[in-house]
Amino acid sequence: MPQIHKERRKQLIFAGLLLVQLVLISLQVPLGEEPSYFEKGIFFIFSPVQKSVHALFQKIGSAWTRYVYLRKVEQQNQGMRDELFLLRQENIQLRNGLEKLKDKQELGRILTDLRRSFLFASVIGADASNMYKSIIIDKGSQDGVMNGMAVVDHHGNLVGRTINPVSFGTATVQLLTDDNSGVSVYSADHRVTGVLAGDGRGGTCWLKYVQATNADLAVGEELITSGIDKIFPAGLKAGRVVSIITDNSLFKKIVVRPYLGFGSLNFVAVLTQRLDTLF
Amino acid sequence: MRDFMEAAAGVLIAFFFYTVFRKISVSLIESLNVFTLAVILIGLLKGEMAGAFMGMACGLIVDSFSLGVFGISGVANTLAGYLTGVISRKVNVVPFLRSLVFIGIMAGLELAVWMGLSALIFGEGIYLGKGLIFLQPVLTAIVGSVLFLRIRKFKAKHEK
Repeated sequence: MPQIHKERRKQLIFAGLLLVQLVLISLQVPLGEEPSYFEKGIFFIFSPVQKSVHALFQKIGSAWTRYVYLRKVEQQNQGMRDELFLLRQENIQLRNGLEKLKDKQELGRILTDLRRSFLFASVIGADASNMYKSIIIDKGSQDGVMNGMAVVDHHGNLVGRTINPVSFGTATVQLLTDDNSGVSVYSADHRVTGVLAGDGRGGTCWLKYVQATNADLAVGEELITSGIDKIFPAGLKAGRVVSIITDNSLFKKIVVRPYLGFGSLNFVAVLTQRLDTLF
Repeated sequence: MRDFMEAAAGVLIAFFFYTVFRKISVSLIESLNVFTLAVILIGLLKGEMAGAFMGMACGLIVDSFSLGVFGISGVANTLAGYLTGVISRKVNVVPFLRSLVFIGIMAGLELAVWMGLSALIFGEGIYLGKGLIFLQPVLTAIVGSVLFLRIRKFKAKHEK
């Protein structure tokens, strides 16, 4: 084949590749946030690789902990014993409190359901282009994870919600700090309601739709999920107000620092059942 | 077939390092784009067609593991891979300093296209990783030129 034809053929293939991707971009307009089958396919193929690398790291990490880091174990054990003692006391008090409200049989059912509602997962990956948008966890549809389940950290603070793509063994979690995320919250002290949305860039959130005439909300107030959005259960701690700006617009500009810590976000729990429906 | 296997291995290696870097520090994946690095290296070593296909594969993986618009990284990397192959055939980029500058320019181009498309589609500011993202072309150039030199030496040794 003459050289010029070879060159032309390469240019045509290149143009074809670009065209395919432009079609993929434009296909998302009718799909909205729902990923295409092609995108899901790539996620399904590559997420086991990510899971395997994570498992390898965990093995190396546990070997390190077992053989090299043993001298800290005694100290850690003492800390855990203290925490366990406090948790047991708290558990007894809560059980006693609940027993006054419910009979024993119903209480047993509630506690069993409560335990089943938490699905612990490890964070195995971060969003490839923006760490404040999403994370990948090592639990998927085979573990009972579905689209739209709330996710909390080890302190019980809100992290985000599961979002498609959810594969057999892994799932994507949309973080609170994603600019497309929206959570219905209220302030703990003054009961001011609003929508918590991420800024998508700096790990902070905005509390939206609080009217400029509302003088109640104060800096430092804690924000708690209200459950109105039917996605996140009520009562989860989401963050704290760090600044309030009132200008000429209809709504206040409220900056919120979410509780989720990006540096320590290694384990999370997926709420497979809405906790507020148990009681 | 061998070229395809090498490109597939390149994709897997890039994905492996992306996962490992995430485990070490998120700042690492913000300051060194291993996918772009793999695309440029394949473009340099295998030509524009391999570069373009590799760019498409790596870019779409990045897009699948991100909540952004699916296809943006694909376009940016396909362009980077293709242009790397075309230019490196016409200009001698084998000497270390030249390859350093050339890889830096190509990585910068990929970043500029990605940022341009993101800004165009999202219509507002994009995430810059506290400025770390601007380190990508520099780090890609340094790591890429060293790897390019090593691979060439390794190949020359084995061909002898």
